[in-house]
Amino acid sequence: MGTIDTSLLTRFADRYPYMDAEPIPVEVNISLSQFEKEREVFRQAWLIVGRIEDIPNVGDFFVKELPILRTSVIVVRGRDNVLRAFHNTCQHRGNKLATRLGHVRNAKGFSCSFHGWTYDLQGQLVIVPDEDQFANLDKSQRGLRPVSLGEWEGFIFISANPRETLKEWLGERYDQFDGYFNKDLRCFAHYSANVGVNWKILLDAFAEGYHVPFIHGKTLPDALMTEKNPLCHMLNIELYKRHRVLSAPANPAYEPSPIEKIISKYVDGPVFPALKARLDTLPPGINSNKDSMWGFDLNIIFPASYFAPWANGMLLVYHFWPISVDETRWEVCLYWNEPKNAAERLNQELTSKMTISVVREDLSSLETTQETMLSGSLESMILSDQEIAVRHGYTVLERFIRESKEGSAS
Amino acid sequence: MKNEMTVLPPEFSKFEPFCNKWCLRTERERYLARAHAPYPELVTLYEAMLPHLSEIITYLNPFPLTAMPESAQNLMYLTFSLMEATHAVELWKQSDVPDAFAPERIEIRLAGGII
Repeated sequence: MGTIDTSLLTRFADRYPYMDAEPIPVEVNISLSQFEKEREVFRQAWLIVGRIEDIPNVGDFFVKELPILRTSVIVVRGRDNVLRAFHNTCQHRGNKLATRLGHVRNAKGFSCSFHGWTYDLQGQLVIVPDEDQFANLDKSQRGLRPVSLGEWEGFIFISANPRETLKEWLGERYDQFDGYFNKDLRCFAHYSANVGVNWKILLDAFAEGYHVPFIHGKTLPDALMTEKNPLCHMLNIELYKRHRVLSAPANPAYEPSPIEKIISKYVDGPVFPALKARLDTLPPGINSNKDSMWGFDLNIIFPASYFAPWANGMLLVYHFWPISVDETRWEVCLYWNEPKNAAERLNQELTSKMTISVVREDLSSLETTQETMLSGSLESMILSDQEIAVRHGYTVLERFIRESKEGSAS
Repeated sequence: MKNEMTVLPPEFSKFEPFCNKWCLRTERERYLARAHAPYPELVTLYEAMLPHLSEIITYLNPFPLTAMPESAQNLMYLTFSLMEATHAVELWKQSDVPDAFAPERIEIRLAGGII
């Protein structure tokens, strides 16, 4: 073994004295009353629901089921090219308008399957069959109910009950990306699953590198770790008012596999894993130390999404949508450039295959963990310095709930 | 959906015996076929196709991805299955990731472009 890189032994906690070091009680992940408090957090939050590239043309739309907000939302590009979000609810008698979920589709408008009420792409009610039979219907008052929508760096956010602007919500992160994601991105793979686990346990499984040599030992044996960094210490962790970012390492001495060697002859960028970052092209918010060993960043946007720019130009966007206290819908969308030819497309396919296999390792143990927390056999979780981003998630959540309560009381 | 009448470009007709099982149109079909295949079948597919991957890429690269002739598209589907088999053979030495979340529980949907 080589010498451990001492710069990677810096304690992040020293930079964040407001963070305590107490164990986290497991109660916060099994309590029904806690979950109802979190529902209000999600209502006030700005939530990432997609990217502008998902719906590039007039009439393109997708539907998000958001049980934590007790609603379903349509996000659509209108005739005026403006993005809007609406509750997916007919304003006649409450039938759900668009029922095929998730998939991006194109529409001229939205027509209700119950009585044929039809709305245009801007949400206005335009057709009511047998309209004369209504004594007091004002169509202009029965448009689709809007949901607040914001755009930032190509990400689409919605909020059910915003108390802040999107800019305020993003805080220190708002101006750190310089339009970096304004490039020809395209979702080339999309995976999701319902997992029987609290959303925080699921998110936490991705918020540290401590697990990598163990749970990913068979799939990422030498992609991230090096002799100088055998336990996958993060290159940097930055904690903000609400959000946080981890910069993860790559192994410069990684030996590409036989198939990667062949494909790499035909594609511009390196194949998985990402190794050759063009550091001088990165904005302040990405790889904040401009470390040459950088593999990817994990930007956790409070409360429950993250986006991960990779050194090879790929962008992964993860969501952890709470369904109930012990069920979460996990979702990932992989973005990269539009493939120019078969070699690039095959490289993306190989990459998405690696991604889903790694995630299936991450998901493997979590349902048992949730059962364990209910068993009473674990009272609290003790966290290392390398898990400080996990701790930060609980710290921010607890503070947000407390301040909301104080705010509503005053 | 299995494609019983698959035809590959003549230069690659030696791979036709793989087509009935591996020339699959959707990612989910390929993913589950690989996860449940007997491991020796994956080794056979990988060892047969890998030495010809450069020829396959050279053949497919000139075609527009969204408008390939049928035989080239079939070759693309088959090569996607090679991508499936790769990590089984190169990393796990078995058909699926060891001790992982059940593959059937992962929803896979077409995100755009060709599948």
